[in-house]
Amino acid sequence: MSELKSRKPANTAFKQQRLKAWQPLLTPKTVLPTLFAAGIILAPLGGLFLYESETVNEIVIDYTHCDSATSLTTLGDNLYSYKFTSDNTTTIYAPQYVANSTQTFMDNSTIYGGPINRCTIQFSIPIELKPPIFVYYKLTNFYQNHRKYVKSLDQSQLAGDNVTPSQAQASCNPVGVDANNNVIYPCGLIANSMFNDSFSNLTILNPGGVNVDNQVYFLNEKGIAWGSDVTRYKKTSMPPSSLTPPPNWIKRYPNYTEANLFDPSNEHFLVWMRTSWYPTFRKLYSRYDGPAPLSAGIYNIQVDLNYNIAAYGGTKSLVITGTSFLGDRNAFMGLAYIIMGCVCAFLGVVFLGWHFFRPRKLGDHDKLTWNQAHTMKQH
Amino acid sequence: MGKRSYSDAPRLIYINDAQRNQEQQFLHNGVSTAKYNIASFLPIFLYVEFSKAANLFFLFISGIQQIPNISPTSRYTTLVPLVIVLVITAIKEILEDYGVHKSDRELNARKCKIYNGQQFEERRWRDVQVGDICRIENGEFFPADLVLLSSSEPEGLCYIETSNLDGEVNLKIKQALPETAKLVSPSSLAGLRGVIHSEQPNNRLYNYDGTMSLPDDKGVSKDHPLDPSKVLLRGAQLRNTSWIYATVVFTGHETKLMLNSSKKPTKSSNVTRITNRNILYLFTMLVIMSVLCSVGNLIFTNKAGQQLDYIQTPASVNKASEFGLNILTFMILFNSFIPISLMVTMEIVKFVQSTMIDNDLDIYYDKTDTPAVARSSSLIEELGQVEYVFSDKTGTLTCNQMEFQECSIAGLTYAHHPDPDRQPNPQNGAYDPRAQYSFQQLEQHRQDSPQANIIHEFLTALMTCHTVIPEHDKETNEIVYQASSPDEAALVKGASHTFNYHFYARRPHSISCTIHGQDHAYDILNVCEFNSTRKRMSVVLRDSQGKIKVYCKGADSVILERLAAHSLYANETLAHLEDFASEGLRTLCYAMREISEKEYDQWNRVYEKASTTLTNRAQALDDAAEMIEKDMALIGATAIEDKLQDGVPDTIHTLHEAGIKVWVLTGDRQETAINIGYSCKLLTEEMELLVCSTDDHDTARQTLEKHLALIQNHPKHEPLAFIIDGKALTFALEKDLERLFYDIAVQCKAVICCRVSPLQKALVVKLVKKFTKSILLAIGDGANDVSMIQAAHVGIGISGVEGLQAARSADFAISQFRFLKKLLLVHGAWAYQRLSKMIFYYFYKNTLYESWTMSCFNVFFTILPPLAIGIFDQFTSARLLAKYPQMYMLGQSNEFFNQSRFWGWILNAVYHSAILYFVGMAAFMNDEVFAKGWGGGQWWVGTSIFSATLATILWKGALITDIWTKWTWIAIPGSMVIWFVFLPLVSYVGPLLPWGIFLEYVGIVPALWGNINYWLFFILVPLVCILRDYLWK
Repeated sequence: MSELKSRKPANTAFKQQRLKAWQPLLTPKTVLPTLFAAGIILAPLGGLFLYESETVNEIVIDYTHCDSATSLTTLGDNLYSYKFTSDNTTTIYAPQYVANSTQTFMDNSTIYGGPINRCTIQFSIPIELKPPIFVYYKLTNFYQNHRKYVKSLDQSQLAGDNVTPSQAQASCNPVGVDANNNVIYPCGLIANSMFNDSFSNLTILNPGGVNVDNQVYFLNEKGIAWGSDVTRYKKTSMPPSSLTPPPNWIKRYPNYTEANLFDPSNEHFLVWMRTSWYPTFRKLYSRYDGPAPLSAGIYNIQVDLNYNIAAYGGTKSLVITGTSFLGDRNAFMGLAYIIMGCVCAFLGVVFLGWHFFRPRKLGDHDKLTWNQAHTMKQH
Repeated sequence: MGKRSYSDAPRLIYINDAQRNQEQQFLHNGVSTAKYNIASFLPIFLYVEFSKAANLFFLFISGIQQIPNISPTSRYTTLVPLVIVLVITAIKEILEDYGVHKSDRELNARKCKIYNGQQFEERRWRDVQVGDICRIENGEFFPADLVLLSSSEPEGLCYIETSNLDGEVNLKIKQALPETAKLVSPSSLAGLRGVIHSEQPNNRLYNYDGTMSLPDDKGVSKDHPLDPSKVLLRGAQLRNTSWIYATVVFTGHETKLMLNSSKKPTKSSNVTRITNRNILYLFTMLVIMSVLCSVGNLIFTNKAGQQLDYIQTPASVNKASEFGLNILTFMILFNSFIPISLMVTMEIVKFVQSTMIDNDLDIYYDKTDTPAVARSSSLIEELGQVEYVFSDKTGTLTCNQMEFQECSIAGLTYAHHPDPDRQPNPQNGAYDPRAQYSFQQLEQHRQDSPQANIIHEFLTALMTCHTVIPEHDKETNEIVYQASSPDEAALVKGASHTFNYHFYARRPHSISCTIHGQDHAYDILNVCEFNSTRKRMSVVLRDSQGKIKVYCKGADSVILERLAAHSLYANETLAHLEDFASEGLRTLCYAMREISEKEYDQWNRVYEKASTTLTNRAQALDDAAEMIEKDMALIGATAIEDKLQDGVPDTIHTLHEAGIKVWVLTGDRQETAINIGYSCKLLTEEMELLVCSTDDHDTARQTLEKHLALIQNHPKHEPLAFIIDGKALTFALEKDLERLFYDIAVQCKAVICCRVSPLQKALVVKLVKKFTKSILLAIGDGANDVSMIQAAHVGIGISGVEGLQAARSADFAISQFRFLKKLLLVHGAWAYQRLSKMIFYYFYKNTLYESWTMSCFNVFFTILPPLAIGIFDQFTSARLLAKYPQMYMLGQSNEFFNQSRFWGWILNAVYHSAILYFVGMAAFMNDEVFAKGWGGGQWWVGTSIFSATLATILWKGALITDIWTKWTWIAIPGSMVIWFVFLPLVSYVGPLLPWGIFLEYVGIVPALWGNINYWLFFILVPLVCILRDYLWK
């Protein structure tokens, strides 16, 4: 039983649980200053954010029902919103729209399967708007975040690789292949349901006077997708004959030829593929980068009505807006910071008062200090 | 093991007849103590792992994830962590088991010398067979259970040490049959023929029944009894003997050692049980949520109908199966509710905490060089919740270092240090029974008092009536007494050193002594050994004058019963015994009788017969002993002091302050026990003692009822102590009285049970366990405490003088009673508090966690904070905990870990996730979060919210951490850093990998980190979440 080596434990800080340590105690003395500090920092920041958000001008026009507007229709208040930094420079008119039948798309390509309507929307911009100005479409009640929907795409197909019908069927079900077992390209629910209304450039009507020519502000449809996404997808190397367009794309793509084979690096497509997390969402369509600001006046924009949102029970809107460094107009972040700051400061005051009048109760409510142990004993 | 059914028929072993032994197909001698072998590993391991509910659940989840189109997450997100967890467990098991295999192999490959008919040849242990004769050299271990044939020492004696078996380090003497003891050379063995009728293998270490049939000179076979003193058990070691010959009776797993190594009862801690229950609750919640969500889904799909055209739910799918599949889907989605790695983390934390206990210098005992040992880390947090401590007395509260202090002979008391107040008063005559004489005066009385011959008999009894083995220390030339009980050694030592009745050598049938320098030899005719039912031992001997005498020593009750009618001095001695006991001394009574040759012959025949019976030999021997131990004359009583261990009163006082009730269960007399109770502050002056010592059931009931009535009418503030003796306890533990007994006992601040048997100790513990949910702790040092230690929730063994058996079967082993204070108040309280915090935090973070992100969430980002909390957190310093034992009550009332706390945490998690969700929704409503006009999209928003979630979790972790060591710094802010490293890694490297994973993250890093909204959100939301916790803390 003799053991030469002593079994005495080593006397190290770790083994004896005597590591150097910092023991923060949440006492009124430490909590109160942090509350005030939080209040002092957060509230002004929130003010700044709110101010920034308020500098963004925004026009939202719901054109879901433009299809049925055979004559120039003025929109009801619930279908549009104008938010401008100042609204008394000129009179603001409610937007109006009218639909006319058209045989070709705006880019003059053929519409297969009959004419569609082109909606002309008139709206007013009461003040000069500085570029950049962004044009979005906004959809509601569209569950891009549905589990089945999100998964229904084939990354390798979009990356340009060959995809067999069975692969397409597996990853893009139920929009993987057509009846002839041709691979749908691009396959999947997301691609199939891609938003395909197209917007024209902005035209200002009679700027400056009665008989002056309408002036067109050209919108840029590049730079609307994430920089990193633009290089991500490549055109497929498969022969067009073995591919077939998604069923909902039939008006533009009845079938594929070498000439019209779809290129997934199309930025509208990339934007659409970044599925949205919420059933109401906006997606960037085009942008106005200047250099000249948009003058105040009545504007005109045309939309090819190709996307049947009504069938999905949702609405579609046109959004024209600027941005701040916080993105689009959204007062939330500013308000949240202000509220948070105020709450902190308010609680700080309350606790200060509390501490002032009844100092002992505070801080060690849940804390195991030895006074509490004594109160335990008294129970 | 144990699967074979053993018949009652004895096993026949033919000496020197390998063939006939082989025909019986005895078990081989290879042993395997490993849990698994290569073939059985997988099935057993998987069975064990999947009998855990959590693992089964995750297997189920990963199973349904394999069904295509159900899982919202990737197919392997649950399977992979599950496999990782299992693999880690498996590796741990394999490593542990490999060690066992290795030591088994080494053991089985050890060499031992086996007789082959002419000479001894070396064989490996595993090839040793029943019936083989082997030669064991000094210092070697026995390869199997053997029957001793002969040895190098005269008369076939040998000494063994059995510390591997029972932890006792003293030498034990074994002796061969005289008939075989003469076979001392290989050649003489060749002629040996005989049959051993052996009992069937069993696990009774201290019993052996068998006979050896040997042909006598005329060739007639004669039976010779074999008893435990002729059996050498596997695991023991040969000492002080150059060699022995012995024949093998039991091999391999049939040896008593192996049959004894039954598994300890597995104990699971309260916290573990609650955790398992909480997992079950969460699972129910999960199922309910899944069903609700599926119903919601059904309603939504029906209402939306054609509007969901873009999702194109195939019309063919029938609604019912869609609904069912949806439930499964949601279950997968929410499965992270249940923390997969919690159990593993708990194990790790507990393991580290137990090494902390092993390494604590404060509970390391210098003198014996023994640190504390946490043998079962799974019970560590129970130490923080103990409400009852059941303590043995001897060796636990006391040092078990006995000193012969006082004695009473012929109605006079003598003391080593006589009480000055009790000087003999000459007025009361020359011999004053109320006085206390010194040992020097005893010496004088021995020579000149009328009771001189009684004194002589008494001292002779001290010198002869024992089973002590004297061992000559060659260096100091002193005699060391090797005794199985320290009392005996103290008595023999006392007789020798104080009174010059010097015992120096023991041979099988005689002992040699010197009395005041004069040599005396006593023939030891019979020894009726001590056992716990007899509570006495006696020796029948023939002194140098040829007179046959029986000396008997034992507990006062049993000795007094066996005195001759009108025995002299009985009353005086009894009074003295009470005096001794009230001084806290251990007492023994001595009695003797002279026996006529005729009576002895008659009795010896009975005894011989009893000692050769195969069935119930112990009982037969007891009965035989009963016949000779009667009509004895009382010659005196001894009092041995058993010193209190250091710090015992202080520790008991502290435990009381911590709200822990201390019960002392002891084999001592009531007076001794009460006295020890006072000296160790278990009892205090203001306590009212309720004593219950009755002889029959009805009085026991009456007494108990009376006490209970007393308690109920008692003003609460005066503390009570309840003292019950073994006999009354027997009745109190019966079905109809146990409730009564319990009701009284729990009302009392201290309970002392005296004169209890080991079994009663366990019964008392079990009784309390039955009626209360409190955590019970049993602490003891001897083999008699083992059952109690195993019955309690937490068993603590004192690795002390009475061997290591208690320490071996205990969950924790410490070397001093006072270490209990730190073990409970500091380690226990810490462990309990740390683990509760960690477990809740675990549940919290898993509830909060958004499942779609990553399953490795648990493993990578948030495993460190719980570990850090589990290992390093100290809610209060060790110093304060020891100073204010009242804090311990928090653990007893389960303050940190109860259902309301659990739901509190879960609510907190729900609250936080609601904030995360709704704030996220409001902040990213329009999805245009870039100054460049770009939209974020699902993955961007999701990752932002995930970052915020992680930050919230870590903030929360930081808030509940009471003490920040450098490891905490690494763990908590470090986890955030890991996430910030991980994200670019998967974003840039992930897509390059061939498996097509992490494609969602392409380009997300610049988009996130370059976006101010991300940072604003990241800062804001955790603050909002934590604000409440921060203020309420």
